[in-house]
Amino acid sequence: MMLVFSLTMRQLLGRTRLTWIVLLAAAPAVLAAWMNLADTGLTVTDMTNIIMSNLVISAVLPVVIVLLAIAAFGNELEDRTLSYLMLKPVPRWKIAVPKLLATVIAGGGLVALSGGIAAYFASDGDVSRALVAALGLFLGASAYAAAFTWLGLLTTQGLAFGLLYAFIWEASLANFLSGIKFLSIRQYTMGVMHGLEPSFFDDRVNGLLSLQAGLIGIAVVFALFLALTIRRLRTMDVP
Amino acid sequence: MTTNGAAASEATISVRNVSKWYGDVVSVNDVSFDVHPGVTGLLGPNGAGKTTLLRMINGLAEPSGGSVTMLGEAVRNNPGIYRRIGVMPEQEAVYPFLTGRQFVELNAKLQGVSDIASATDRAIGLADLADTQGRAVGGYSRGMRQRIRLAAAVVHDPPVLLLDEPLSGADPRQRMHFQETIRRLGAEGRTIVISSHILEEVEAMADQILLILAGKLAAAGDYRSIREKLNERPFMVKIGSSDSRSLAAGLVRLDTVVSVEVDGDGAIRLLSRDVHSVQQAVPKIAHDLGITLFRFEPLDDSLESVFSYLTER
Repeated sequence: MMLVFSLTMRQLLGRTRLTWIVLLAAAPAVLAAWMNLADTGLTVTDMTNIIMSNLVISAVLPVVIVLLAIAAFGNELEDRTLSYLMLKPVPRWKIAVPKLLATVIAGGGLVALSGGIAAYFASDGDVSRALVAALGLFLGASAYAAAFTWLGLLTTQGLAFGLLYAFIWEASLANFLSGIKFLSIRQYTMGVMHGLEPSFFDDRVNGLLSLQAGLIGIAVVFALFLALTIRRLRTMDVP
Repeated sequence: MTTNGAAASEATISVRNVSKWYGDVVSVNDVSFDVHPGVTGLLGPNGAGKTTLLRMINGLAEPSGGSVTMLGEAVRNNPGIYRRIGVMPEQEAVYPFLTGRQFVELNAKLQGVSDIASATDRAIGLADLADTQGRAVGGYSRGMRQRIRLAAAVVHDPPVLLLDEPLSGADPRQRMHFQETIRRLGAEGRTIVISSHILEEVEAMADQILLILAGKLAAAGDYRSIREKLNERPFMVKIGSSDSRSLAAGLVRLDTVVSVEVDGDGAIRLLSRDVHSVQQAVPKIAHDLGITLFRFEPLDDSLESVFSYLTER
């Protein structure tokens, strides 16, 4: 599995893609540091809501992960190199799992680092809040990565569908329609962060889930889409 | 090689009533054949369905109908069988950031080869790429990429090789080297299937051919045997002699001769439905008439003629 993992890492972290992703992921940390230094008059809760809820969780997290996760299989399908892996005596889960892990570690690690730094500045140097933010974002990234990795294997239009999903379902509908909070990775992520650190987000944020609900939601999404990815690898016609 | 439901005993590859369609488009239509050890050419024009058929044989594509077995096992959803199969897919893409050696090593590791270094050395040597194995594959020429992909396909020393258009992009020297390599691998007892739309390529390497036209198996077997079976159209033979007109007058009386003419070069062009009887009769007639024979040359005993004939039918 290490072989597929390292191969995927090299594919994902090409110079151009890496540059854009680092710039995107770094934006919240830079913004939080600037807001902290600029004395905007916002409370810690306001800054957390603005930066973590509106920027990091709603936009940066899904966009960074969709860019990486779609490419995990999408690059292989586009370049038609997936056959080199599929024509080997390797169980399909040993192809799917390392590709997913590479996405989680590369994308989740980057967003967790940036989000942790952003949370640190947004909360006036509170390290525990920074760690909770990093952990919550990493778990949320895992769920997004599983869903988008499957999407990248399902269609060549995965990036477009992924971005539409992120901005319409997660950033818009899940933000305003509390009824779909149980079907939102954004809400799972916020539920985990709020459950671990209750001062994260206040009642102005709609439909916060409990810690347990958030963890279960993330685990279900991760397991479900990993299973779908493995199934897809077994049944698809490989180009 | 046997076709269309014939006994499949000891066949390395057995294809039974295989079809593949995409929506309303039928790409491969009810094809059956067996492949035995040796080199078999999968021949047909572009778009005939060769690649689709090969992809169903190697398990990358699911047949819409029928079945494929290799070495007695189903190929589809049976990753373990790839330890015994080397596949060189049609696409030329490789991982551009890997060196040639890393690419072959990657394939060896994925195949679970025990001695990676020596297997890689052997495969790269076979592909004649030892001098350039340290260069990134992204900078390889098209022919070099084909050869490194061949090295990757044989690195685990498989008894079965499936090669899709392997000579695409190769220069004449590479082509000759490749053909020699394939003939040698076939002579070692491997089962090798090579697809191509270029008749000379297949003719130079393959003992047997599978001729695919419009998704159907048009013919299968030794190409000369196939040609002989296609006796609706006569063979053309060119005969050079010391007295073509007299010899032509003698030959026209043979039952198996359809027509005889003398061309502008003074050679006889004879059409016959039974080239063997003509081969036996011509020297005798020439001897009886006191004529010296210079040459006896079948003009269409090639894959080109089989291919053209079947396409025109």
